[in-house]
Amino acid sequence: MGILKNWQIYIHHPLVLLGLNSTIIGLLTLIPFWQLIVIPCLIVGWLAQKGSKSFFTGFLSTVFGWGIYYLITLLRHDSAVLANYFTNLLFGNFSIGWIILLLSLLIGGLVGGLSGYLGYIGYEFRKRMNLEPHTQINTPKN
Amino acid sequence: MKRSEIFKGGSAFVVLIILLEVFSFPLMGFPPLGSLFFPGNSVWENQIDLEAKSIIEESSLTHSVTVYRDQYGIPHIFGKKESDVIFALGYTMAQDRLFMMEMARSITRGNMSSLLGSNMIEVDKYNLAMLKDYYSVKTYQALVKGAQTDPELATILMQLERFCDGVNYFIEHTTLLPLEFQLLEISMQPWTVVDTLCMAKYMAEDLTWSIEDLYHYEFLQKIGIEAYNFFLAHPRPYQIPICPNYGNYSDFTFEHLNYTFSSEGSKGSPASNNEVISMISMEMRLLYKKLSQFPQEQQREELGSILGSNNWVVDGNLTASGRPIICNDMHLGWNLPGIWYQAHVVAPPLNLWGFFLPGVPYPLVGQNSYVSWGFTNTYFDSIDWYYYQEINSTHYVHDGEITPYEYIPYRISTKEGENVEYNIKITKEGPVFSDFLDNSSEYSFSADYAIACQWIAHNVSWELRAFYNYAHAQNRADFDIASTYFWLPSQNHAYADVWGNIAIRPTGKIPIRDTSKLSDPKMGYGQFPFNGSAGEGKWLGWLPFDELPVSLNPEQHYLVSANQIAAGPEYMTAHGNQTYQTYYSNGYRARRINQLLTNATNLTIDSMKHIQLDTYSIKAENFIPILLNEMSNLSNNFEIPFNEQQILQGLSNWDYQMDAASWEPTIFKLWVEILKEEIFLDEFMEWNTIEFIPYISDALVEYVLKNPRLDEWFDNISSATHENRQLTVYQSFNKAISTLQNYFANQPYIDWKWGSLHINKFNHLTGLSGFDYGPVPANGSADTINPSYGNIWQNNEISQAVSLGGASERWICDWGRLNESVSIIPSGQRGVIGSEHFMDQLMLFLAGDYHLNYFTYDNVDNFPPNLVESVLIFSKEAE
Repeated sequence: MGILKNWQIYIHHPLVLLGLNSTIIGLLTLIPFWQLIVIPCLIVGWLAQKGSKSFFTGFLSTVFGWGIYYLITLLRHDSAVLANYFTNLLFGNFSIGWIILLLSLLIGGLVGGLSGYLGYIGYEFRKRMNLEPHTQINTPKN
Repeated sequence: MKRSEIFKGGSAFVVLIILLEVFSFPLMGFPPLGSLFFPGNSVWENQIDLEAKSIIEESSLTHSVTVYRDQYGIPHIFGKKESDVIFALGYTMAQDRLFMMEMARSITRGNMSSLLGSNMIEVDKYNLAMLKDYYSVKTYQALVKGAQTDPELATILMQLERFCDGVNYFIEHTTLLPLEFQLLEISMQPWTVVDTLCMAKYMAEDLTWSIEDLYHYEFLQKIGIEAYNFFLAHPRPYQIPICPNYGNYSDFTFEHLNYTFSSEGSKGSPASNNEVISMISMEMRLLYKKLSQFPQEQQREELGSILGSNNWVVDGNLTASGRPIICNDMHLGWNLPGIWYQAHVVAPPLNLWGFFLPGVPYPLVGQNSYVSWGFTNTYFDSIDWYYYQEINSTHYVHDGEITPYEYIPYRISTKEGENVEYNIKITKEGPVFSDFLDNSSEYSFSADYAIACQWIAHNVSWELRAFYNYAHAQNRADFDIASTYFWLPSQNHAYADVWGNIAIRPTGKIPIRDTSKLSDPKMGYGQFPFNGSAGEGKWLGWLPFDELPVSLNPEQHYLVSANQIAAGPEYMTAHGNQTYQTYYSNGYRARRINQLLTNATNLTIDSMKHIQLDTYSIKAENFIPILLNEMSNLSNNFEIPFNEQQILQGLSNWDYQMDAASWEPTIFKLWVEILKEEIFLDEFMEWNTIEFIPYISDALVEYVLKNPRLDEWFDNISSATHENRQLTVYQSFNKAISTLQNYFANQPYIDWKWGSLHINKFNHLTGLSGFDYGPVPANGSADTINPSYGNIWQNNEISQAVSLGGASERWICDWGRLNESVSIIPSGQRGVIGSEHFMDQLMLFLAGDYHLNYFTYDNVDNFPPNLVESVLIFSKEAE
C-alpha cells in the first residue's frame, strides 16, 4: 500500500497526471459541455509544477481523452462519413474528412495545453506570493 | 515571478479565451463549431445506419410487429392488426425522415419562425393566411366529431393516433435528434393528428395553389382578349385527351387559334366595370410581385414547368402476362431526401405497398392485393381571386352591401421567444392578401381595393378518408367510393386491378361558379380575378362526382395521362366549353406515350421500363423536318456555310433521342427557343410584355409553323421588310449556330454535348450545398417521357439549364407478375445524411435501374432471410 500512502509524491509525476487527466477528460465527453476540460487541465497544470510539463500534460491528456471518444463514437455510429460531408460543406472537398477530426483534436489539445500552462502560472504565482514555499509538499512526512 | 512568465501567462490566457469564444458561439450562421464537432452530443453521435437487430418493448400494442428492412432500407412491416403496423410505420418514418416531416408541417402550419427565427415571421403570416392550418384543425375537429357516429371515421382517427404514437415514441426515446436539428439548434415537438391532416394541404399547395390569376389580369389588359385566347384559351392544339371516350381533337376547328397580331386589336377588359380596371390591374401587378418574393413562390416559379407526371395503364390484351400493367412516374422537385417514402405494410388480410408521404400512414399511390392506382396532376382550377372595394380597414363591399371583415386570430412564436399577434382578415370568399402590400416599403401602395382568394383547400376535406379507402379497396366500385372523398389536389387516377379492369378518372373537387353577372361566360372559368363587390364568381357548389370525365376498360386497351387535356370535345360541349383545367401540358409526353402504346403487344415490365426511360423527342420529330425542308429550299441568295451544311446533314440522320452525350439536342433545343423569340418578340415588345415569351407553349409554335394561315406571325412588325417562315427559320438557325460557336469557343460541333448545357442537380433539404448531389449531365428534356427541365436561352445568351426536378418516383406493377413489380426513387429511403441508404437509389435511378418491391412476400415467414438487412421487433411485453 506504499504507493497509495505516498500519493502526494506520485501525484506530481507527469505520467500519473496524464493518466488521471485523460480519464477525467474521457468521462467529461459524456456531457455536452466540452469547455469543462479547462478545469482538470488547470489543476494538473498546477500539479505538474513546470511550464512545459504542464502544457504537454494538458495537451496530451485532452488528445488522448478525446481521441478515445472519437474512436468509440465513430465506430459505434458509423459516423466517420459525416466528416466528409462537413469538409465538403466547409471546403468543397469530400475526401478530406480526417482534417476535421485532426483539427478537433489539435484545438482540444491546445485548449487543454493552454489551461495546463495557466495552471502552472497559477502555481508559480502562489509560490511567489507565499513566504514559505510549498517545499513541504515535495517532502513527504512519514 | 518573472516578467516573461507574466507575459507568457497573459498570452496563454488571451489565446485560451479566444479559442473558447470562437468554438462556443455561433459563427456565420453556423451553430457553435465546438458543440457540433467536439465531444458531448456532437454530430458524431448520430446513429447513421440501423442496428442489425433491435427490440422495442411496447405495451400499447395488441400484438408484436416485425419490421424487416431490405437491402435498400425499405421497411416491410408485418403484424396482426393494422393499428400495430401503423404504429411501427410511424416509428420507421421518424427514424428515416424526421427532419423532412418537421419542415413540411412547419411550413404548412406557419411555424417556421419557431425553427429559424424572427426573419420568418412574414413567411409564417403568408402560410397562415392561406388557411392551411386553420382548415387542418377544422378537419381534425370534424373527424373527431364524425368518429362518434361513423365507425369508419372512428377507425381512421384511431389509426392516425397510433401513427402519431409511433412517431412520438421515436422522438421520446432517441438520444439525439438527427443532424439537421443539431445544425439548426432546434428540438422537436410531438407529432399530432393535425400534422398528418395538414399534409393534404401541403400537397394541395404544392400542386394547386397559384397567384398567376393576378398576373393574367394585367396580361389580358395588355394584349387583348383575342390574343389572350390565342396564347392561353382552351383547348390547346395537339392534345390527346386523357379520357378517350369523349371524342378527340383531330377534326376540331381551333377558331381561337385563327389569330395573328393586329395593332387594331381590342385591348378591352373582361369585367363589367371598365373604369376601375387599370387601378385594379396595377394593384394586382404589385401584389403579384410582392407575393412572388416569398421563398415558396420563388421555388414554385423555379419549378413551375416541372410539375407534371406520367401514368398509364394497359389491359391484359396488350400484355405478355395477360393481366393489366400500371405505370406511374410523378414529376416533382428533387431533394435529398426525396419526397416519397416506400413501405410495405402487412396486417392480414391487408397487404399494402406504396409511396407514402412522410407523415401520412397511407400510401398516396401504390397497390394492395386487389387494386393499384397512380397519380398525375390534373390542374383543375382550384383557386379564384376576388377584388373588393374597401370602405375602411374594417369594412368592404360584398355583392353591393357594406360588410365587415371577419378575423382569425393567431399568435406566432419565434425562436427568440417573441410572440407576434397576427389576425387573418377574411372576406365572404376567403383571406385577404392585399394587406401584404402595406408591410413593404418597396411596394407601398395605398390599396383602395382588397384582394382575397378562395381556394378549395379552404374547407374541411377528406383526403385521408380517400387514402384509407384506396388502401382497402377490393374492386372498382370500392375505389370509386373512395374517390368521392378525394378533394384536392386534383389528380388523374390511373387504376388497374386484379380482376383485369383498367380505368382513369381526373378526380378532385371543382367549384361551380356563378357567372350570371359576367358579360362573357368564358371569363367565369376562373383564370381571372372576379369583382367580389359586384358579386361575381361566387362558388355555388361542386361539380357532382358523376360528372367528372372517366374512362373504364376502353376499346383501345390502354389509358394515358401526362397532364394533358382531361377530355375530348364532347365533354367540353356538355360542360360550358371547358374541362375545368386552368392549365395543361403542351402534350408532347402524352403524344409519345400514346405513340408507343398504340399497336403495342406483349408488353412486359421490361418494355414499360423502356417507356419510362424514353428520351425520344416527339417535338424534334415534328420540328426538325420543317427546319430541314426550309433550309433545303432556300433560294440562291442565301449562303449556307460548310459546317452548317454538315450540321443539317447530321440532323437529318438524328434519331431524336435527347441524349446527354449527343450534340443534336443542343442545336435543336436552342434553335426552337430562338425561333420562338424570332416569331413573337416583336409583337410582345409592342404589347410591352416580353417576360411572357418563355411561357408560350411549344405546341403553339408547332401550330404556327404548320399552318400557313398564321404566316403573318413570321413578319417582324418592327422592320420595313416582310419576313416569311423560311427567313425566320433560316435566321433563327443561323443565330443558334453562331451563338453555339461562340459559347463552345470554336470546338467542333460534335463536341456541343447536350449534357454540358443541361444538368441535373439534387439539392439537400437544408439548402446546405455540402449535402447536395450533382450536377450530372442530363438526358431528356421537358418534352420527353423521362423528363429533365430548363431553358438554355436567356437574355439573348446561352445559359446552362439546371434541372432541379423530374421523376420523383418510378413504379411498374404487372398484375400477372406481381413478384416482378419494380420501383425506384431518386434519393434513398433514409434521409439520414451519410447513411448507406441516403442516396443509394439515386445511383440506380441515374443508371436507369429499378429495384424489386417484394410485394408478394406477404408474411413474416416467407420473407427471404437473405434480403433482410436489419430487423426491428416491436414486442408486446406480455408475450
